[in-house]
Amino acid sequence: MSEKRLALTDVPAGETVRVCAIEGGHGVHDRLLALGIRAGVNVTKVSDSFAYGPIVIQYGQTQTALGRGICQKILVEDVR
Amino acid sequence: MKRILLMGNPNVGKSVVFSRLTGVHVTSANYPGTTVEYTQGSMMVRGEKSLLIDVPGTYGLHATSKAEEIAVEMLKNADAVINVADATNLERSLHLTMHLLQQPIPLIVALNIWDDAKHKGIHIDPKRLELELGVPVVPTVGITGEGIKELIERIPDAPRIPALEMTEEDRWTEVGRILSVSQSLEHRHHTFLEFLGDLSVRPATGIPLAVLVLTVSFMLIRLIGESLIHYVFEPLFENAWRPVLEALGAHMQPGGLLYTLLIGELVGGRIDFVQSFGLLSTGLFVGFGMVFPYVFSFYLVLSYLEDFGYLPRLAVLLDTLMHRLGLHGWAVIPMLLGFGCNVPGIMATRVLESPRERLIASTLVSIAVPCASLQAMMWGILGPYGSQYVAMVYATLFVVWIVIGRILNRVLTGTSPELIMEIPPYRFPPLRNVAYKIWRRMRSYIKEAVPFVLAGVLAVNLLHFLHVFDFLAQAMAPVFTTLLGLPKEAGLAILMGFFRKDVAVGMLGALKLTPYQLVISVTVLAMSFPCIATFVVLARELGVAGLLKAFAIMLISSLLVGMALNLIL
Repeated sequence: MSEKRLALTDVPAGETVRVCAIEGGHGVHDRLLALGIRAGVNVTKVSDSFAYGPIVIQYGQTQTALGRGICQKILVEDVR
Repeated sequence: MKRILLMGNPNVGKSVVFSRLTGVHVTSANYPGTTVEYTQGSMMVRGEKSLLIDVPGTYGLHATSKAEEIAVEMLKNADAVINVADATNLERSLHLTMHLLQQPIPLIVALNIWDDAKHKGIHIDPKRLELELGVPVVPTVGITGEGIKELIERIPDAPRIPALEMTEEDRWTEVGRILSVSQSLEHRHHTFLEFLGDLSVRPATGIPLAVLVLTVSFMLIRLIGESLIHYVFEPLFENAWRPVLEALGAHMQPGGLLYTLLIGELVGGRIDFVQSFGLLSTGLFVGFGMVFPYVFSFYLVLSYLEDFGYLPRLAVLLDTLMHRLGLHGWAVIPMLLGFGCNVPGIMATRVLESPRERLIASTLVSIAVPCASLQAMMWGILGPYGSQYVAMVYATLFVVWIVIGRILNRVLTGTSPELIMEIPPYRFPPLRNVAYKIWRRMRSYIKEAVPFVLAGVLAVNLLHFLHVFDFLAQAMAPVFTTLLGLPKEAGLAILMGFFRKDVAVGMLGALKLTPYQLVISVTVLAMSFPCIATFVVLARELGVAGLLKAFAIMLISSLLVGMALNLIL
């Protein structure tokens, strides 16, 4: 493993990263999948969490706000 | 008659396409058993009249939300589906198309917002897309009507294809494959609206922007509402309606039943539109002269903000605050709608996931969110004494909103789920759309609220005439005089609040209370039991047990707050 895996919460705002895994149960996995957020997708962090608030990400033409707890379960890696 | 469904993601210009397809033949209806509204109309397909149904926007057919459940239900007896896709966000749109391809129903795709896609450097090959999907694809621009004719002509060509078996993973993979062969993206810079959109969700810029937007909205609502009252409705009542009423009164016995019911009591020898309390004087004036202008200006501003795409961004910024109240950011939408009328506010709590959240949100809307009718009357009656008194009512309700939310969050078991929400791009809404929305909302105000105002005024007069009020006032006197420091007649007004809050404030206005007494009574009125329409919706949404809980909270908290205000002021 040369790639460093981070939680989406630890990525600075403005960076683009690739989703490599989603931790947690089927519930979170399925809800994110329904939105098109899945392993292999590139996402850009539009805004960071403020006072434990949600994070806004952009992927393709779509922007989605996700609660901080969910973002901690989204593991990402640098785009190479 | 053939049933054709119009389906697509939320915010893809579906309603504009709908009005293009049906022209003016629009009727509105409630789906049986629910109150998520849908619209239906008729259209001609190759000379055959068909029914077109505008299905609530969905992202898929998972039946995880109310809107998706309805969509799945409607698909069971549909003859064809027009899938409105957003050309500027094809990936998201085609995901729903994949779901629809799994249904054994003829399908045609309208590739909408086609013009914007070109401007944004998104090049789509509709012929190739058609080949890949196996169903007709027609580029359309709902706003100008481009492509609509071709869309209608090709509906009968929509093939009935055998249903495909696909998992959610398969759908995304297939969408990715189709996009790679039928769409090419041009590299380009952020547009101004995209830049503004990003600024609105970044806390450092978003919070000042939110304060600005809300302040400007509030000022605009006041400005438009007050201007309409002063320059249009008051002159209309004074110069046009007063002579009619006076002429009518001349044919009746002053002080008689009919005169009292229709015109009311004269104040200083003439009709007073606020205090006379007749059906044709105060009844009409409250409905049209005082409340209508504010309801209109509220919906004007709200509809624009909604269609521009601001509300989801506000939800992101307020998410943390709402979590403290046991809700999440989405709950901002029912709250804001509640400022217009509590009924749609409470119905909008359906966007929230759990019964716990719906109970908290509905209770908060009905206790601490004053509707436009109440606010209009509050400005009308309390405003002349000074804005600081009106501000006291708002401030008290805001504190109540926070405190009750926090208490409910502690007391009720469970936690608030996390936010997962799509944020639509900012778009300058076509004015035609906004106008249509306002028209529909005003129509429902006139149809549903105005009759209640008139009935309320009539009931007040009849009860007065039959001396029922004297009896009730006497019975409730101890509570109102000792605990709240109000004359016993104020109790009647607050009881009347069960019928219509605006009529109740009108009754308070006729009592010659001090400004502080008005502050107390208006606050208690706003917090205590909901008006009858809200009551019915609460009962339907929360069930009897939930309603009783909410009801107990309202009575106890309004009494406590009223007593506290009485001690402080």
